[in-house]
Amino acid sequence: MKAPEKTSDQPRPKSARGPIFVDASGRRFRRVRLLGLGVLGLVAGYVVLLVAAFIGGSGAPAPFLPFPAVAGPQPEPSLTAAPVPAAAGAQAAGTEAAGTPTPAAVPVVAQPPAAVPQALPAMPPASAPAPVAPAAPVAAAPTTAAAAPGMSGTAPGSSGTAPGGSATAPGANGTAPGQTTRSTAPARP
Amino acid sequence: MANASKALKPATAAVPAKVTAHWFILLATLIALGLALAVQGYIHHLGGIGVDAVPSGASAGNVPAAVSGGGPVVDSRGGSVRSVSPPDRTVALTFDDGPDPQWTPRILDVLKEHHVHATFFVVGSAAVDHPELVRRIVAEGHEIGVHTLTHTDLGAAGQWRRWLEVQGGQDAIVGVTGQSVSLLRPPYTAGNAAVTDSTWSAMQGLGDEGYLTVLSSMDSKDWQQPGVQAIEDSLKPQGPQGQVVLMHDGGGDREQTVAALDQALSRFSDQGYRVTTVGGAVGVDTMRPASGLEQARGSALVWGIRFSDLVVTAISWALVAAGVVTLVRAVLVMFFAARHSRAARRAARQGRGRRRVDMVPRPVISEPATVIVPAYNESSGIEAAVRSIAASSHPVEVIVVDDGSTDGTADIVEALGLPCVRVIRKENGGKPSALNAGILAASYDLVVMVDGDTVFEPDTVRSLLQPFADPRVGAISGNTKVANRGGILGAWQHIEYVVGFNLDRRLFDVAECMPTVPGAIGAFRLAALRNVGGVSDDTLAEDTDLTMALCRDGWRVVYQEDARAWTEAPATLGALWKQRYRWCYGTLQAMWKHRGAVIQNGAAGKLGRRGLGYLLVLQVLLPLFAPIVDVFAVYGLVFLDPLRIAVLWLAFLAVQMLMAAYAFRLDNEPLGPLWTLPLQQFVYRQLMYLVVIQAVVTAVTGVHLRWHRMERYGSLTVPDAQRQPHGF
Repeated sequence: MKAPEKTSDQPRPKSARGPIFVDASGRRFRRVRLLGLGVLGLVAGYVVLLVAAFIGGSGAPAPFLPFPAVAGPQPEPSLTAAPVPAAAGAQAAGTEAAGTPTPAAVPVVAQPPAAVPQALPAMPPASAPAPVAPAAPVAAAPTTAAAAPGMSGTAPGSSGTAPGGSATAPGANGTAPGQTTRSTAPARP
Repeated sequence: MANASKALKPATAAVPAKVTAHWFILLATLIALGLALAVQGYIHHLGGIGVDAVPSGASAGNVPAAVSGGGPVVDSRGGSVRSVSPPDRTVALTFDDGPDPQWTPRILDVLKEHHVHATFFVVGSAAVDHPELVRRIVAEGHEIGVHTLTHTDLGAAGQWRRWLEVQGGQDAIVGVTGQSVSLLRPPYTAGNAAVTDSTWSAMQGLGDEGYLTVLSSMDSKDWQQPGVQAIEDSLKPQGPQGQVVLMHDGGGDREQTVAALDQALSRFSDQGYRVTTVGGAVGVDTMRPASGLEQARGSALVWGIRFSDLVVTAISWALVAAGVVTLVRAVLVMFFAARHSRAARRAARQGRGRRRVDMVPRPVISEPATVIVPAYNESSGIEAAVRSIAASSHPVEVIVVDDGSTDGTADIVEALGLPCVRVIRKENGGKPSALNAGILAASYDLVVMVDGDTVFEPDTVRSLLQPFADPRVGAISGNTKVANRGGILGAWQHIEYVVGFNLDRRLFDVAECMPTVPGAIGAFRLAALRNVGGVSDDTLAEDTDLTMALCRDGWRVVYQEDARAWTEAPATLGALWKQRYRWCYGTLQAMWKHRGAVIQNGAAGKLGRRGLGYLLVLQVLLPLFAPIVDVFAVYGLVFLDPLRIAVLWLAFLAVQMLMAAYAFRLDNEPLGPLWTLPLQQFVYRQLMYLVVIQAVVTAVTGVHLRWHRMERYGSLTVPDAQRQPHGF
């Protein structure tokens, strides 16, 4: 029976220090607790970071007026909620027409002004004016900013939709980039 | 000892016997991890730049004419609507979906060449990934706008998400550039006429947040990659009207965009068009230095996202490593088990009982052996255990060491009146002391150690001792089987035992690095035991400690698969927890005690590097990492392809199943209980890794366990209260 190598080099502490791992002084425990607190602190810091990032108040930049330098009338920049009666719409359209010699503007008047932008009722126009589209282009675009206010005046009713679309159309030639292929297509024929 | 107990006194006061705070820390860490994963998953997997032509809602009935028919720059704050176009012969160039490390710099180069500026609507997540590009955009005098945080369809998103996406995009820009911007282009929009109701409702809300929405009037359609000429053609104005041109610098291959842009800019210049930014075209200043608060939040977002990315990347690699380790282990273990089993079968065919074929067959071991049964309050099982051992086909002397039992264990044994059975009564001193008492009293050179709740088959001892024919073998591990395998907990442990004994243990045998001869059944040479000073009470896993000591002493420790011992496994989760806690803690102690073996030569080095390495990786590190795997699995199911995650999971399960089935086959066990294997993934797996965490924390903190003094021995098996009578 050959018992390989004698055991001389084997450490045999014989529990001189008490059980393995047990730190009687408690120093290691305190150190680990500190480490644990550190980890907890890191975790908390990260959570705070995320909360700060995602739950912060609305810190969006202060808005500003976007249409300073544009020639043309801009008296009624924002009609806001004022539900403009049919007359107003007509008037607005008139302004427009005056500003830009185009027949295209006319269809706008036809739309019942639905007042506030959100007002929905006037859905039909969307389809109705569409045919006019090709003509419309010249209306808004040339007037640049000037036209816009006018538009918005009438617009609320969404009735403008179609004419509007057409208004841009000419310039953009593609009106409905990407996705809108469908909406333009019918307008052409 | 006096020294130790003196030192212990203040410790018991200062150090609580139970550590619980780590569970709280673990939970908090896992929650933070989940949060990081959620952030990363949201940023990188929920949004994403898709094809631009995705309408977010069919109807457009509510969109006011000022939008649908107005200019592409829309101010919708306060319930009013105003829109403008760039003035005549002015082109506002816009690029979406960037920054992109490949294409944005090239587009910037082209713009620089033509001395024009443009507006870049950057995606927040991309800005965080490539801050240097965003800074370059700003430094070269271009304008920046928000294109949301993750390129989300604002029209389809809920109110909260709209806010998150836009504010997040803004924060990212602020965090990277220090500038606050006020232009916004909602993803998946194009011309005014294409604005749908849902997009419009988003635009309205965001108008109040201080954003000007920038649509486009001239779509290059470059995202369709129609060819340089087609893109260039689509950029030919049909009149003097001002245009907002939509192009893309991110989200795909933009080679055509770069080329078309170069041509178009030349033409614009030739035709006398002024090419500029959106702000420049309509005459507003859209960027301003961010306030301190905005800056802070921007930085928080940027660093929060970066840290989350870092965490996910680190975990991903760790997961890959864990997967590789698991697979390597599976292959290794099955390969070596097959080798071991072949060798054992060949040896058996030779009728020698010895497993090594490459050796000259040794004589059959027939000399009598001493069987030591340490017992502490084993009254319920001791009779069956002793009777089964006494009935061995091998000549045995049984020494039952009663370690101060209070339930009359010794009396029960004495009442049996078996001729070959001796009883030693001693004061309670722990299992190691009982074993040492037995060793002292042993009459023969071969010693078998058995737990008091373990039952042998008649041939177990004979079979167990056969490897001693090889003089290099100092200890032999038997094959422990779970007797009470009914019920799901029993089945789980049964599987674990079969795999552990038939795969891992064979591997250890072949690799000559057996770390444990189980207390339930093991055989030792008396000389070897004496050489290492008997059984040490340094650790709670005296069997592991002893085996490692023998290995380091140069003895071969082998596995004998047909020496079966039937043991009773804990029947409740609580009992199982206690048992495993003790095992795990004890194993850690033994590993630490024998850590010096890692740098030793010869047999000790094999144990140190192979055995301890295996234990460290597979029984400590992998379990410590396991909770993260679970959290990551949830992440994968939510943010990644659930199908892929499921397939991956099933693949790993299949590997496990294969291993287990192979182990069962080696052990001639019916495969029935394997149906519970998939269920191990829940409850059992978690219990196993939580135990390791608990043990590691206890070890690291150095707290004093109650076991260290008193019931260290009684807690080794099923507590009395939960103990069922043996079926034997």
